[in-house]
Amino acid sequence: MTSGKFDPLSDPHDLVTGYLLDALDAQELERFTTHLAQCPECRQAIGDLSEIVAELASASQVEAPPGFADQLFASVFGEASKEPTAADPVLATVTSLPGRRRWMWPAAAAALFVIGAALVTTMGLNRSTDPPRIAAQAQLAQEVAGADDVHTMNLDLPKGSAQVYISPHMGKAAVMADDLPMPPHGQTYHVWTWMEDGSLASAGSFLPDEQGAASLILKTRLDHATGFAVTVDEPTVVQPTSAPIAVVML
Amino acid sequence: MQSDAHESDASAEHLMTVCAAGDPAAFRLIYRMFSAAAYGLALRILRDEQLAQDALQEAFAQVWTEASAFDAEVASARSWIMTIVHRRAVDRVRREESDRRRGEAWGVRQIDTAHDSVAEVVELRSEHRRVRAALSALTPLQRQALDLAYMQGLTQAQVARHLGIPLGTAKTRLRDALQRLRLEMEVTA
Repeated sequence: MTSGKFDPLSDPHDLVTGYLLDALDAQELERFTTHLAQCPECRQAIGDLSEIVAELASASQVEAPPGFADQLFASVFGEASKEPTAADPVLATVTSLPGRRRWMWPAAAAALFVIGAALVTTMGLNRSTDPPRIAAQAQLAQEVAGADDVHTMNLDLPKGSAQVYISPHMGKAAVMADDLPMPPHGQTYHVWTWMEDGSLASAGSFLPDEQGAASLILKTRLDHATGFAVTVDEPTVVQPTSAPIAVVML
Repeated sequence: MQSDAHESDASAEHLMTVCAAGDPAAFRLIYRMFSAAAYGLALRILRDEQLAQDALQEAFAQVWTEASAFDAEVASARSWIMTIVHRRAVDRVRREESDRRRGEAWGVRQIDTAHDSVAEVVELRSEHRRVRAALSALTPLQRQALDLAYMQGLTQAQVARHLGIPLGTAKTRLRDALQRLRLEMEVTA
């Protein structure tokens, strides 16, 4: 701290704005952070204004190029990650769950989860016994994927490939997947809609066929959706009980 | 199953605490929630895709490694994360600038172009419109000072030198700009 020397321009209170805008030089910053620790007024001022600055910061949204996220995750988790390496990444994720911190999903929007429960149960029971239903799903999913206004997003699964297709015109979204490993006995893939308020609503569940292929029309409202997550869970869960294996944001 | 989870469990703030516990899935979600805003900001400041991606990479690596320093009592997750992104981007722009001659060589851009020309892919989300509306309520001098400091990474002293005004005036102008933004945004909130 460089206190003691009088400098009319260096009243530390005066540095709040510069601090918020990252517009202090190194000495000013050091002086101000020291000051901040003992000045509730300045802390208050920063608390009041930091959300305004955050809005200023967030005004332009530009998607990072494809592949950037994978690079980031690889470099961030790369050497630090102590995840078990199993032949099957899905199984690795699932089997590692009891040993790790349980993923805490949001519990809001209970009503949506109730709808999800009915749906998941129905689908869980119907899947293997009702091939026409699966065929109908697959056909509808193809139509969504082929729609003129379709938006396609990649679901970054640990194994296999899957895309989310959204057609605003049809008002429908579908997931189509290939080369998916079969989840452990008694479990299925679940798709969850990540809503604007942070809650998750079930959008359906599926099992891949013998070839690892799957199609699902998502049972979801799209107007408040901000993304989708995939988990591997028991068929009857009404909210996820495990960490997502893939997430895609709209 | 977290049947008794609190409302806040749904939030980015909660995700940050899960991140702090070392959960990669939470970090991925945090990334998806804020990366577009973060990249948009880095691009506006650095005006170069590669530099912006470098800053983005550094910033999110810091978010992951320092997640336990996040305190929801002090700031929102967005504010905390965007502060880190801004700082990384500004560090880079200053490094870049320090490689060149200072002074008149600053590539000065007026705020209007600063907000329009880079991010061609800008989504006109409601919050973007809100910020633009608030910015339009500033005086041209306030906008210029804010742009020089926040988007071009100049320190207050450099803003003063660049504009040929006393440091005290530059500080006041920036402070007034921020206060005015706050007023405008509170009105439209």
